[in-house]
Amino acid sequence: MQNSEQRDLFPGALEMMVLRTLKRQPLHGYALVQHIKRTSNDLLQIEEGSLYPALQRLLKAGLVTAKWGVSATNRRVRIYELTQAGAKHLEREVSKFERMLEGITRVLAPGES
Amino acid sequence: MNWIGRLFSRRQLYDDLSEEIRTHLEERTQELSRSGLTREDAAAEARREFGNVTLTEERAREIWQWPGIESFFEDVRFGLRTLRKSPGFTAVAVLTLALGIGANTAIFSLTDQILLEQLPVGHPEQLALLSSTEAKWGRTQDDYDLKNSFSYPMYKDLREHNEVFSGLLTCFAVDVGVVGHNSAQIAHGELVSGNFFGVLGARPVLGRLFSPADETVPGANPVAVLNYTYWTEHFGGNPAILNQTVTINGFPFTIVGVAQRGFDTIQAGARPDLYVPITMKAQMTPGWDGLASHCDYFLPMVGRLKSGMTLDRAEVALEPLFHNLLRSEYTEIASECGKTVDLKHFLTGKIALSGGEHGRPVLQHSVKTPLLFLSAMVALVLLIACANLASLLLARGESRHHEVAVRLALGAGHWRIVRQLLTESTLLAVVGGAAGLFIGWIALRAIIGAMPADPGLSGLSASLNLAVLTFIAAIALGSGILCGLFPAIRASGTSLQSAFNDQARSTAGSIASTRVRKSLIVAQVAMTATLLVAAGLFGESLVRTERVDLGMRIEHLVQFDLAPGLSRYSGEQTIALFDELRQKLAALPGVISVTASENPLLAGGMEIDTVNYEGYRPSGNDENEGLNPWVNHIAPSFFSTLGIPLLEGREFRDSDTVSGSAVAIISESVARKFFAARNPIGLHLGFGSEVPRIQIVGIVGDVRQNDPRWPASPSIYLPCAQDKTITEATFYVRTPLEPRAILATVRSTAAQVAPDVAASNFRTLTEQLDSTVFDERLVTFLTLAFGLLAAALASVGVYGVMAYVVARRTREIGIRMALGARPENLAHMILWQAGELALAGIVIGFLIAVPISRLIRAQLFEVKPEDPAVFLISAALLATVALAACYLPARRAMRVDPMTALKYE
Repeated sequence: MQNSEQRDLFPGALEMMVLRTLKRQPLHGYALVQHIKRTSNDLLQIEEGSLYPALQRLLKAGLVTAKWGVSATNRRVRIYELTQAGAKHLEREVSKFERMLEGITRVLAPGES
Repeated sequence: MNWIGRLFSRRQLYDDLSEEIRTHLEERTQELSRSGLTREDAAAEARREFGNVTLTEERAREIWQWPGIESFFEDVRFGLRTLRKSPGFTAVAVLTLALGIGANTAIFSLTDQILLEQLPVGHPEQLALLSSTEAKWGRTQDDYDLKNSFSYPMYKDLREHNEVFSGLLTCFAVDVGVVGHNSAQIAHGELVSGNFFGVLGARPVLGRLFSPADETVPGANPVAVLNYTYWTEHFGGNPAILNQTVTINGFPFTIVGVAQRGFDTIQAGARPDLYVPITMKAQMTPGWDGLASHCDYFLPMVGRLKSGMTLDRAEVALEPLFHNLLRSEYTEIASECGKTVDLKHFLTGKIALSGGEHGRPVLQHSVKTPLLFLSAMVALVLLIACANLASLLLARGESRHHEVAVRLALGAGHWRIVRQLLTESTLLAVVGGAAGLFIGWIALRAIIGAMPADPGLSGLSASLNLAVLTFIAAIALGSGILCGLFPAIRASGTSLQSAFNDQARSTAGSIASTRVRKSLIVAQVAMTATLLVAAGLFGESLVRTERVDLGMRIEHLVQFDLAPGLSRYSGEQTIALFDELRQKLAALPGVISVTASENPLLAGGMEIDTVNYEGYRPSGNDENEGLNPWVNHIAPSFFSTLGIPLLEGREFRDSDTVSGSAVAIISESVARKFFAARNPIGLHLGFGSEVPRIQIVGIVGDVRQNDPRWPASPSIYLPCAQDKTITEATFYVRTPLEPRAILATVRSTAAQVAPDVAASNFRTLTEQLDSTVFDERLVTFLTLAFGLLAAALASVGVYGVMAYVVARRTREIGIRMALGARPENLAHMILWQAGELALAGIVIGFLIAVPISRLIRAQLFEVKPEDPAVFLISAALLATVALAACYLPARRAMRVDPMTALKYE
């Protein structure tokens, strides 16, 4: 459910955050969603419907791999793990994002009125 | 994971994905229930948070697909399933389309072969046809226009001295006798110049083709090249034929080669069997040499323009050359054939060039208008079929609005549904198109099989070449999309509420679609009306053609052609043979009389010569003064056998031989025009510039000798026996019996008397007439067939709509009946509705038909384009068809039980 006060994520943002999360540790789908919610202090609400297509995209591009395993609650889950290519891709995307953020920040900065 | 591996493990991927999502939901549910919600509430909340599971799965799966192609295949599979489930609808739709497309296939194949295809030679766009406008006296021969014929000396001069053509060729078609296996057979030969194959860029598949070295002196080039088809059909494609001798017209020729497959000649639709150098003309046309003569015009000319040369520039460049040639020829022509036109007038003659990429337009000339007309007709038939298809699809779309509503509810986009419905209609079109191709092919074979054995038509075949296939594919797909688009958009626009509400049967949407279907009916009836009017006009024209007074009685006559000249019989031997044969035939049981004529009757083509009459001074200006009558050499009893009235004097007798005095018989119009008040009997006529010394001994009635549609032309008859150079004749045998009964006996008698002579064309004279007017019969038959086909399609359309109307208005009908209406009233209501539509269609159709019928006026024989009988009959036929189509629906309306109708909610 999206709060009307929140913006839509820009394209690629979800993939970036998923990769970053997986860099810390391999997770399965549900855990990913929970993790992103917690870490962003609930500022980001992922529409779960868009997570799975995103994961499939990452899988297709070879940036992650998937394995069946067992979750903390003893369920059979599919666990995603970051690959080397994924790590490199993440680096590139993060630096692009940081450059963009700096640019926007500068424009928005309070200065001459 | 490479993509091949992905392809095969996709099933696994999808299963993994489904399981994943399920687990996700379970975990969320568990979490939520831990925070206090009941199991069901937690599950519901989890689902709500997740969003549309089906859609998510689909989108995730799409990552692995080629979405466009995949969903297309899905559409196709689904479409096939739905079509299979309603076989009745599918059958009607496919059949409707197949009939429409089949008609188009047949006609387009003919149109392509005759009008559109270029000659199968190298660079056909460089070819140019020549014609000239100078006055041509002497002996002339042509296919449809005298301007196209040249003399051999003129051809050689032009070929040698021109600067605009890289090659100038000529050719001349002639039937020849080929001996093989103890029997002589007629083959279609082509006399060609030495450079014929070279200029056209033909290649041999065996041996060699002609070169300019094969055109030296008359009689010195006894070589022949075979046409590929003739080689495969008559010699089994045997390569041992090379350098063998074949006897043509009694002369030995050496076969030096076989032309490449598909190469025929410069006339579309014609296919010669073999090629012989033009210098061998005297041998190929016994009794007529004409190669050396300046006033024997019989050769067409085709030139290949040099690169960079255009038609206009070439014309201008040829003018001075032609002028000089004419000037130098004038004196020769004047002495050879007694010219009366003065030099200045003669020298105004010019050469005109026209594009030759389609070859000599002999067939096109006579067939172009009917073909275009037939093309328009089949286009209309296809439109009618499409209207039926669209109407069917509209009705079907309505009956599926539940299905569509469910899909919309599940999240399908409108465009997706439109696409899927469009795929269905395209599938119908593809199947209909394939069936149509097959039907059209069968029809084409039937049409070509029924064609008379004319050498100008033997090149036509029931071929479905790339052009035809592409055209049919295009119109099939086009029809499918065109007919399916509007119904698909309409169907996908179903609003969810109305779909699930049974009560609201008469939504605004379905009323509008019924209106569309009704206007489709009006359009269909209008187009059918136009077609029926055209068919009626042609039918009437044909009837008049076949009933016209020919001036002779053609029933009960057997005919056949005999060509002793092609077996090296001399003129005397031929006459002796003819006499013997006439006697033998006359002695047969069942034969009343026998005669012969050098030029066949009702076979197209005429022999004309310049004649002058005793005591008549020609004015010398008008070439159409009629000084070129039809000339024929005939045997005794000609007029009595053929039922031509002898008005004065006598027929030829057996005593009118070469040793006797020269005699002639003239036709009525000659007597009237050139002898006016005088009695022609006893006076004289002469040919060319001779003094008249042939005595006129009889006057006969005028006869339409060639084509029943052409008026009778003035004719001069001479005795066969006095023609020293006669080579062939057509025999006519009169019998009181059914003529086909004696055909076999006649044939065997001829074979017995002259086994070494080629005899051909055994048939009745009535059959000969039919074959002469074959084009009119074919067009009339096809037009009628298409008109009736259109009427059948339109009636199916009317039935469909009226049945639907009755079904929709069942409740209303029930109420009316309950309120006291009688069944007949309701039937009338239905009939009246249909009648209105039909009436509107007929009126519109007739309005269109009037200008169109004016256009085809030239094709009609003695028929007024506004003939009211035709219009009345068409209207009556259409009205009957429309009302008959309503019979079942009206009966259903009458049978409605008010109780059942009102109960049905």
